[in-house]
Amino acid sequence: MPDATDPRQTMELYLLRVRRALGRLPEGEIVEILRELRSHIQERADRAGAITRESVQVALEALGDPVELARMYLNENLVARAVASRSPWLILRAIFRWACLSAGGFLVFLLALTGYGTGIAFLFCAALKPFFPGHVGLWWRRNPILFDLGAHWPIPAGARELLGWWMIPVSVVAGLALFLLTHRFTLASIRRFRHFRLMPA
Amino acid sequence: MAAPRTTVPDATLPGPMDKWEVQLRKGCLELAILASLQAGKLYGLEILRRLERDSDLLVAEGTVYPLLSRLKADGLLDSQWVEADAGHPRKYYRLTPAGRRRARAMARVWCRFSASLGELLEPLLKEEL
Repeated sequence: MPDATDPRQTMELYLLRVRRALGRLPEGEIVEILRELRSHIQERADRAGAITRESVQVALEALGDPVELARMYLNENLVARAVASRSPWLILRAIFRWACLSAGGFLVFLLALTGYGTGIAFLFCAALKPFFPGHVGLWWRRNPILFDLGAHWPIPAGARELLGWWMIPVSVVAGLALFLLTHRFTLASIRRFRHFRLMPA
Repeated sequence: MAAPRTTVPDATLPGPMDKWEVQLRKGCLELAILASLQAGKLYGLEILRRLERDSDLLVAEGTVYPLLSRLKADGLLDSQWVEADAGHPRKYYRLTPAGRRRARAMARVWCRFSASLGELLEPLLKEEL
C-alpha cells in the first residue's frame, strides 16, 4: 500500500500514471522521459528548500495532469516518427490524433483515408482481374445509369465492361498515382500540424 | 514558494482574442526554446526559468519537455545526462548546427514579420493615445 505522505512515493505514483499513458512508445523512450521528469521534479522540489510532500506536490501540479502530459509526448513523438519514416500507417495515426483535436485535422484525416483507400481499391481490382476476368472491370449502363469500376457478383443486368484487360494497367497506374498523391498531401499536412499543434494553455 | 505559472491571456482581450493570444504564444515557443539555448547548454528547468525571465511567454511547464523531446528527434537539439552535485542527474540540451541554423532562420523571419506588421499597427496604437 503506497504511503501518501511519502514525497518520493507521490512522485513515483505520478510517474507511473505517465508511464501507463505512454504505453505505446518504445521502452527506451519511456525510460528516458521518466528519468527526465523525475530529475525535473526533484530539482524543482530541491529549489523550494527540500524534497517534502508539499514541494513535490507543487512540482507535480506545475507539470499538469500526467495523462495530458503523456498525450503531448505521444503527439510530438508520433508526428516526428511519421515524418521521419514516411510510413503511411504512422502518418495516418498522427493525422488521426490531429483529427481528435481540430476540424481541420478531421478533414485532412477524411481526405487521407479516402485517398489511400481508393488507391488501394484500384490496386486490389487490378489484382483480382486475372482471377475473375468476367466480374471485374469498368462497368457502364445507360438506363438506369451505372458507371463504376470494381467487381460485381452477379454482373448488373444490361451492364457492359469497357476496359477488358486494359483494366490491369489502368488500375495499377491510377492506384499508384492516387496513393502517391495522397502520401504527398498527408506528409505536407502533417508538417503543417507540427507548427500549429495544439497544446494545453 | 512560487506558485506554478501558466499561460494567461491578456485580460483586456475579449473571448476569441484570448484564443488568438494563446495560439500566438504557443507558436513562439519553439523559437523561444531554441533562442534560450543560443548561449550554451541548459537543462529543462533552466530553460523554463530563462523563458520566464527573458520572455513574456509564461509557459506551462508540462508543454516544454515534450517539445524538447521533439526538437531532439528533429535533430535540432542534442542532449547529454550530467551527474550533478544536487544528487540527481540533469539532462542538458544544446543546439546542433542544424538547430542553430533553424533558430537563425526563424529569428530572421520573426523580426522581418514583426517590423512589417509594426508599421501597419502603429496607427491603431496612436488611436488609443
